Amino acid sequence: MHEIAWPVIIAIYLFVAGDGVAAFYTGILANTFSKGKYERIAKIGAYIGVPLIIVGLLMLIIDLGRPLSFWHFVLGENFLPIFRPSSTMSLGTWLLTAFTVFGGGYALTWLAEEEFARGWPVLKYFASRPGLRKTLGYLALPFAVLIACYTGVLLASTAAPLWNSTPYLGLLFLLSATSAGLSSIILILAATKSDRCLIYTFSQADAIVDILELIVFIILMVRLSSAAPESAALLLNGEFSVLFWLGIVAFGLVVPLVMEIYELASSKKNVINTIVPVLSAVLILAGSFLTRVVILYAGQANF
Amino acid sequence: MMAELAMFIDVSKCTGCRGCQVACKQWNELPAVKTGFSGSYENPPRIGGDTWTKVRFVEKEDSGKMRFLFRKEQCMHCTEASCEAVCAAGAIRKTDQGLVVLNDDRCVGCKNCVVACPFHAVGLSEETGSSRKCRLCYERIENGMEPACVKACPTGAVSFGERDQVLARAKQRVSVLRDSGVNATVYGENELGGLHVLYVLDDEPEVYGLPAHPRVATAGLLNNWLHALIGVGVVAFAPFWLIFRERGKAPDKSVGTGVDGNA
Repeated sequence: MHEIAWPVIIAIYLFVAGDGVAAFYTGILANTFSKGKYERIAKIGAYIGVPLIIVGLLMLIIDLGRPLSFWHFVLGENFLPIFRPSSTMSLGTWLLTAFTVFGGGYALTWLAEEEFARGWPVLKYFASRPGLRKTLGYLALPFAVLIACYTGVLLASTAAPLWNSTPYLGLLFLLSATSAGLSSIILILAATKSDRCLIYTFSQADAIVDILELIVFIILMVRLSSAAPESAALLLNGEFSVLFWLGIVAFGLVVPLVMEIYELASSKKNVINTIVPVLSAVLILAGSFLTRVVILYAGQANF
Repeated sequence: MMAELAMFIDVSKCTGCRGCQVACKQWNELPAVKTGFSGSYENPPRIGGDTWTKVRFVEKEDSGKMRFLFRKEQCMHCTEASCEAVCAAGAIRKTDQGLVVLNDDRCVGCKNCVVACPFHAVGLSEETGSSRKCRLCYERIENGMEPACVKACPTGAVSFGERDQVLARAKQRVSVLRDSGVNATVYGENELGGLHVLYVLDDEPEVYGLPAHPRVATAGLLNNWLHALIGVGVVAFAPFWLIFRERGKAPDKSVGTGVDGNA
């Protein structure tokens, strides 16, 4: 077994970054497509997304061999901004920076209108500015979407056969992040005793993403089995098989999907029980995190 | 434009004395690494940030006879260098002479190069918190000296020179070995755009722990982005557009509609 270069702290980063931006774009997209019906979801998405991205950035910096030199990622030798197109990490750094600025500003336009934040010094410039909010939201949106993909593409541009043998890792991480983002919103809605029908709608969306993720996972594993059989074996029947089958496939994808479908198909919407969507959201979040951990460690085990 | 340089390693001449390993540690003032017994005289078990070269020991059984094989391993100084491509801090540069050199002052220690190198020749140094690897002793070369490992080699298994000449010598050696019935090959002539460490191997690359078809780490980048962006389109349509879109006043039979008004 090879030494682990990227430890669990990187898995946490990949998870919180994906979950955070997905909650963010879920809120904005839902609100946009519904022509403004889901304003509250957009706010919840921003409140989940921006702090999680900041936590993720801290994780990244903590893991560096030289945390205090982190600014070398953005400033070159002559202190001018540095961007290296061939480096996925360089691209990711700028995506994260742009999202933090625009998404952060967007979150502030919500925060400025909260009761408890009235009178905070800088916030007043963000209060009652619907135009600014809209602009910042749409500016942050593409960066949020690209960050969700980038966490997978980052792993794909390496020498590890499990990560670089298929073109689907970015896609898988996007879907896994979207599903986690929807689940996070469901949990907040349930915790704030929101309307059950609203939870029901998001659970429905989560089920569709879950199905897509399952399909992509199957395609990825089939492709991996022919392109890098030893890597595929690590997941299918090797060192990581219990975590893979039980943790990711069974409890992370299939069980929550069955629960969601059962609930959506059988219950009348006005008697819907929120326990099922909540429980499946928790399972999806745990499964999404485990997907990062297992893929990160299995990738480094045989490389 | 200066002529490209290359190191030449003839495994058929290596006796596994590990003089190169010690010379490298001494010249570059690299710390000792604490290791345990890994089932072989090979030590330390892998190259990394504090051990830039070492001799890999391979035991191979050929028709009932055990062969004890040696290969000095280190950074291969690839023309298509994965470490240089993935480095976000711009800490790695390729010199006109083909050497791949890591600038320790710029390195942040993110370990992207560590996971990107197809030869696992880069590692994080516990001592400095930065990624480190063989620099082909470029400062010795600039002063008209050979790399430290070359200088130390007592058998002539490791040598150094202009890449064209080194390649010609490698091919000559291969034909000599082939004449005596050895299945010899040159490794590194075209791999990753041409390596600046050329091997004469007397067995398949895999036997010596070398990838037969090394790939640059960024090879699958565009294809990965392409699939991910298609995924973005699919997700934006289903579920987001399908489920959250404003459907107007007409009642919809599908589940989930009619509840939006309560949002």
